Amino acid sequence: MVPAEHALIVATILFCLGAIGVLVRRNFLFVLMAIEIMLNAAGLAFVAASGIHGQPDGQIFFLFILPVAAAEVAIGLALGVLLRLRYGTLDLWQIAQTRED
Amino acid sequence: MEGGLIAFWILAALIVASAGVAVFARSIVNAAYALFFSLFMTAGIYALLHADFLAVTQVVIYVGGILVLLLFGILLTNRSLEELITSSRRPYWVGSAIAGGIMAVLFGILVSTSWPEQSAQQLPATTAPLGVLLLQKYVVAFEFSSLTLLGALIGASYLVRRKERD
Amino acid sequence: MISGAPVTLSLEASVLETLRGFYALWPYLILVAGILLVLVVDWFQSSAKSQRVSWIALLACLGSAVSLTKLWPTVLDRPVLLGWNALVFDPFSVFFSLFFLVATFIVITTSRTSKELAGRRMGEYYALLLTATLSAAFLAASQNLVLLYLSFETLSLSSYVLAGYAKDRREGVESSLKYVLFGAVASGIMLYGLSLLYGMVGSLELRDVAKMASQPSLSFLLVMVLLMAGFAFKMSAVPFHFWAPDVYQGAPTPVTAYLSVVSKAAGFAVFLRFAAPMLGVPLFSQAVEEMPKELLFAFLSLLWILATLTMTFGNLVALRQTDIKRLLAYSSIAHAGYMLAAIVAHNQAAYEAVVFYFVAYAIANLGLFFAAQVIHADKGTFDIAGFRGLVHDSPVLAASIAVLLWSLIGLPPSAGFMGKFFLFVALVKQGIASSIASFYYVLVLIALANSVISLYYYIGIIRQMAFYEPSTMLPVCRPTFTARFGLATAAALIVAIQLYWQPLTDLSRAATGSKTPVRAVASYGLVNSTPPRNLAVGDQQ
Repeated sequence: MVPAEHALIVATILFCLGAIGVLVRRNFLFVLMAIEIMLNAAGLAFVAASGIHGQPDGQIFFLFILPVAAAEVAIGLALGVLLRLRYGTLDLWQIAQTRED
Repeated sequence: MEGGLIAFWILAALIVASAGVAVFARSIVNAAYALFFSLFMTAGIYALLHADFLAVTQVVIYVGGILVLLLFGILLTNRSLEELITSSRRPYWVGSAIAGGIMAVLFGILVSTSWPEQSAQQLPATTAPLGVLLLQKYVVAFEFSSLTLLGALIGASYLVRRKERD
Repeated sequence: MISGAPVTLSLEASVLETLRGFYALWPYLILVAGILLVLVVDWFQSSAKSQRVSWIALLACLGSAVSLTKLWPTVLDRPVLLGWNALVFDPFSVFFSLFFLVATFIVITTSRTSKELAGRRMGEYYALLLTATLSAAFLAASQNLVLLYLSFETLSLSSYVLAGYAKDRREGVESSLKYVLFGAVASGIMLYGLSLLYGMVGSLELRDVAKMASQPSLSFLLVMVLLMAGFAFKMSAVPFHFWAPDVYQGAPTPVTAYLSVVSKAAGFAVFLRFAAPMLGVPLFSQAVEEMPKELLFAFLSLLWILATLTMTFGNLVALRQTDIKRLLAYSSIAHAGYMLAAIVAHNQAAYEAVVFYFVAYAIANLGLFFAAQVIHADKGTFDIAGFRGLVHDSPVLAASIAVLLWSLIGLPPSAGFMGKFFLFVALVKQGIASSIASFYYVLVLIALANSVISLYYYIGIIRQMAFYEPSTMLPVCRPTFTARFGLATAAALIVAIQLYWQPLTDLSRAATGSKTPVRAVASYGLVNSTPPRNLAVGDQQ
């Protein structure tokens, strides 16, 4: 049997990796992927917590993270296409700098 | 150490390593593949945690759906191959400091919580109880998620539409 | 094995359970119908006539609001739980739903005349606006964490697109981008907090979470810190306020008004409901669990620090702004700080005060953003210079703006003054009762000092309007009669609330479930100001 606490530790590490990605990367698509890692980590934590209590409720929550993740990716990518159109780049730094000019 | 636990830690190491690659890779294609592995192997952990239905869902929807969408996005928004491999990173220190703070809080929670005794009773096949819960206790959320998706659909299609239809 | 999941229920019983209390869902179903109808009807309109669908959106808001007011007496008697206890319709959630609907109605009317939106297809715009409003209403009413998260995200997602609705302008795209980045991170942190919370509590129901608060644990407090990320993002409170100025500036002005009123109110509503049992405020059906003293104090200190930072930061940075939308963005951050400060008082009076304050704030903000839109339409600028000598262009417009700004400062005679007054009273009340009185008094002093700082930049605009000659470079502002009428109404409301605040205090008291005769309020309707006749009869007996 896998202790659920161990899964929570893995989830925490994954979440922090995602957070680092969001903060460190300059490319918008990388940031989107890092956000996916964060959401996935939260899903893992829910499943682990559901294992602790022996209830399916946490697994239900995971099922509801799915549409949200999909929706976020869809909006994010649409925005990426727009960024490409208006700025010609997905580099968040360059975009921030064009504003100041 | 029993077999399940060994398998769990091997999977966990692979997941974390590939997530690390996804976050720090220079090439966005490599990153996408690493993300694919990370998500795929999370399904393995779900299977080990007795979440059989979710393991399948993870593969079908997360890996099969969301990731493919992401790949399409990468292909749509990058014009040249050159751009695919040059993606610089910001200076690390500010981001790492903030992330370190978050990590400290999270591990603080993990350590300071006295988690409830793990129920020895493991869930049997979860598909049936999940189905019942979705249509009973969480029926409002279930219906509401259609609104979430509708909103995202409307929004995304509006944003990418090049020409206004008339 | 499966707790709380009656698998053995027969199909018929299960369907009946699902439909229990269904009548309370009608107002929201009207909104859903509105969303779909807007989309379908827009398909058959030419681009030039796309604005027509706003009528459908207006009707949907109106229909929903009317059926909600019909629901009001019912929920005053007894809150309606429905959908397997996923949603609760008590005066609190119904009040906020009504508030959202009225604000959305106003935003739709201002969107109709917006030049920034002219020439675009409006079907998606109104559909997303109604979706956001519905999500906000569900956010205030949700009783389990699943629905709370889903409605939170739906509100965010539709706001992301609305913020970037002017997608052919760089500022529009950038506004949406900033919002998405900050929103995704904030909600990701909140989601992770929810998962840990579920791990500790073992249930996704809010009332079980409340029970958890009675056991002292540091980890619970840390989880609250994570959840605050999401709430603070919606309230635009420090440290998740960074998005506000850029998003407010880049979004079309009606959307800015929407974000600063509805989205922010939704953040406060869900936080007030979520924190009520922990703060010891009996918000209707929720059981009040005593939080251990040390834990409560730590939680209050966290709020105290957030409130102080939020208002001070907002006001200090607002001093340097030259763009009216950015200025109002920082001012709205500061106002979030004042309301957070009231929550520190954690008593019934504080909850009432926040509701009262929000109404006053909403009238002023909706009015000011509309004024900015009107001036922008004629002068083509959002710079404060556009306000220069406005009194020569249109005295009515200038006077109304002055009254609204006056209310935001919180000087009498205005609704904002009453709002601030009630906030401070709540804090002082708590200070008198508490052994650590200075904890509350210092907060009052900080809030007062902040009001003085804010005086400077609000008065600056009034001075520009009244004492300067209009800039010859800019065209003259000639607002339409409707615009002048609308703004004058807002200004009149502000003054009227100062002169006669009883209906609004009654309403905010009813909405937060105080011990005052709830039935008496019900018997004379929602905003009717005549005293209840049957109450007088009761007194004589």
